[in-house]
Amino acid sequence: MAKYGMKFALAFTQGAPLDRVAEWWKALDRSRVHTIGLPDSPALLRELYVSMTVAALATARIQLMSWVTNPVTRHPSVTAAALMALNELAPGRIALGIATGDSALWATGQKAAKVEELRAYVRAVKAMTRGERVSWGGGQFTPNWSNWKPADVPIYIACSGPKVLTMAAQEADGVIVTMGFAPENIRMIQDTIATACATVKRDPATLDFWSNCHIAFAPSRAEAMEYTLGWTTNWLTEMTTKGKNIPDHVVPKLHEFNRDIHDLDAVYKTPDRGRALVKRAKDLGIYDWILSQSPQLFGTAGDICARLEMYGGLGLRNWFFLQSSRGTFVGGADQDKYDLIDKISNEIVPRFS
Amino acid sequence: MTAPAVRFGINFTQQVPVERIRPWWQAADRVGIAMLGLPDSPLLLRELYVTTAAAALATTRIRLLTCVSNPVTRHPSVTAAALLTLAELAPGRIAFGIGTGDSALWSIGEKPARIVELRAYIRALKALLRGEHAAWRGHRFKPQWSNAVFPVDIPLLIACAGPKMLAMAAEEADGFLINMGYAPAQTAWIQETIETAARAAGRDPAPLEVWWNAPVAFAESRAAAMAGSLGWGLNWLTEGTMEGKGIPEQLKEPIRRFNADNHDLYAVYRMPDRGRVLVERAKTLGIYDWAIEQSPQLFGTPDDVAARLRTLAARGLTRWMCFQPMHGAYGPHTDAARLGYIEKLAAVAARVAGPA
Repeated sequence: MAKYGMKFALAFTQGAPLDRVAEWWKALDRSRVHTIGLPDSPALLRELYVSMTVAALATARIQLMSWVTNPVTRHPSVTAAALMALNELAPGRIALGIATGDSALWATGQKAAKVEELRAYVRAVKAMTRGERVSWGGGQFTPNWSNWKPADVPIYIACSGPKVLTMAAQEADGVIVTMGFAPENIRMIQDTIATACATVKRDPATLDFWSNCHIAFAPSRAEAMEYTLGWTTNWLTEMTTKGKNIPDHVVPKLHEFNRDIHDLDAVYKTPDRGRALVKRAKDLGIYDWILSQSPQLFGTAGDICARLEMYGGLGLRNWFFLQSSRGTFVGGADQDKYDLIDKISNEIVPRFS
Repeated sequence: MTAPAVRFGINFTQQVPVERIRPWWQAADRVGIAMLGLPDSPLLLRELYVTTAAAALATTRIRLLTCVSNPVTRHPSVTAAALLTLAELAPGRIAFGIGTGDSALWSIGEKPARIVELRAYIRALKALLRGEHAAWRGHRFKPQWSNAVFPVDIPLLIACAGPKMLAMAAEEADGFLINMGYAPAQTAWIQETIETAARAAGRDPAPLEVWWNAPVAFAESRAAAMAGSLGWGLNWLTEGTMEGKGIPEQLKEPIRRFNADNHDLYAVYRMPDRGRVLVERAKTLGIYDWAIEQSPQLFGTPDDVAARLRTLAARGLTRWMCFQPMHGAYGPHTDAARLGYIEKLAAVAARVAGPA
């Protein structure tokens, strides 16, 4: 029986020419997946807005979200103009996912934005897509687009810490959260959102909440666990380790575990990176703790559904998936992608949507 | 003697949704226009790379040129990734036009880049498109695009509105978009500057693409066209410096007054009948005769325009990036006006195409 009204999104990296990637997007459009995520990492992938345009024109139904961009590499007027143009191509199907900045920045020598800079950027983009006057960089300006209708393109903020989560709950239409999946983490996230929403007199139910993690189908949990931890631990050592429920004795080991997370080759091009990380976690003695924080969406469809059922009971209804990497992050056979789409669409979605 | 062949580009603004512009692009593709220019002015138009991607998918033959972008609003890694992606969608058809920044910047309160910054941006882009390390603002980085073929072949054209830019472009770029006056002495000086700067940089100037940028104003007669158009944009004369641009001393102050509102989005792009207003203003300020002397004067019927182009081609001005002059709010908005313009331009192109 379908439960919880869950929604599922899937992100594929644009690690190949778009005539090839468009076939993956078309398969997703035919599936029951709700949203396609398109990463923004220009030193690594095909450019975001060219890709979103091709995706918009190649699909008819599915939602398209930048997953995620940043407030540093494009002026907000560029981002707003792109959203406006895309929303005309695919009305009601475009969303902006944004965060303080990850590989798009560190791969080009730049630092992540501060939370308040991200807040200002989100406000500026929101105002422009409504046709309103904005303040940015000391200047004030208003879009002068012709022949257009103001569009409230939803903005989602990717959150990996309590400060950005608080800001997102105050400013955004939704959040994409990677902050641990142990019950105490989920409670902390939900409490943080409730408190932040109260400060702006917002009903937390109006915040579209998405959990962000890996998914790995395999003949058994044990087999999947050989090459995936089920989530990414990068966020734990980004900016600060404070306020993230990390035991003190784990902190130095996490720094060692995450030592190469800003190395493009290591993160995205190392063959079998997932298997290497499992071994590294075991060698450092933090495997059990990492696993306790993981959503553990791996194994058979039945295994994954059992976990989703449990999380549904804890209030997690929307899931943004990235395929766990058995090869390289930006590579992989096309058939692996089609198989993943089929499994999510036919063995997961009908149970929960 | 056979006249040199003339090639045309056409610059359309994306001021309407892509679904509506697409037939204009396709018409230009069909009639043999060589290049389609797509402006970058995010506060005014649909975003550059969304529209260029849509144009790439909608056309099969025509080259697509950003006309023009700037080195301020996007990090060079973003621009390089966009160019790679577009080049894969439309192999051999993408060109990158860039200047120091015009309405994309002044409309958001930003200043144009300095020439040295534009040079650094171009060098970073070129390095990234070769798959090499780029240097930008104290950082070095390298693209890690998968399944990409290096070098990505994208000609870089620089919009030039002054002698310093022209010299830098001759040293760094693959070509030029020029709006610096069209009187014989002026164009001869421009051609000489390019030649000298290229040779000084150890480059052969011959393969550099020189595109002259001007409105083509079709009407039933030259006189009718001239009532609504000066035939070129004078805004560049007061951008940066007025020195080294061949402006007579006594005209500098009137030209400043003529350009007083050229950073006002409404005045420039939305004022009804802006072209006619500027003609009257030039006459009132006493700069009309000089402005016309400097203009390429692409006015009148297709026969008038073709005759003028033959004269200009004999001076070596053989590539023209054209745009429709502003008779109303940033040019005629009706689809019929756009498509009619393309047909007329195609008629001119047929008259001056030269031997097959």
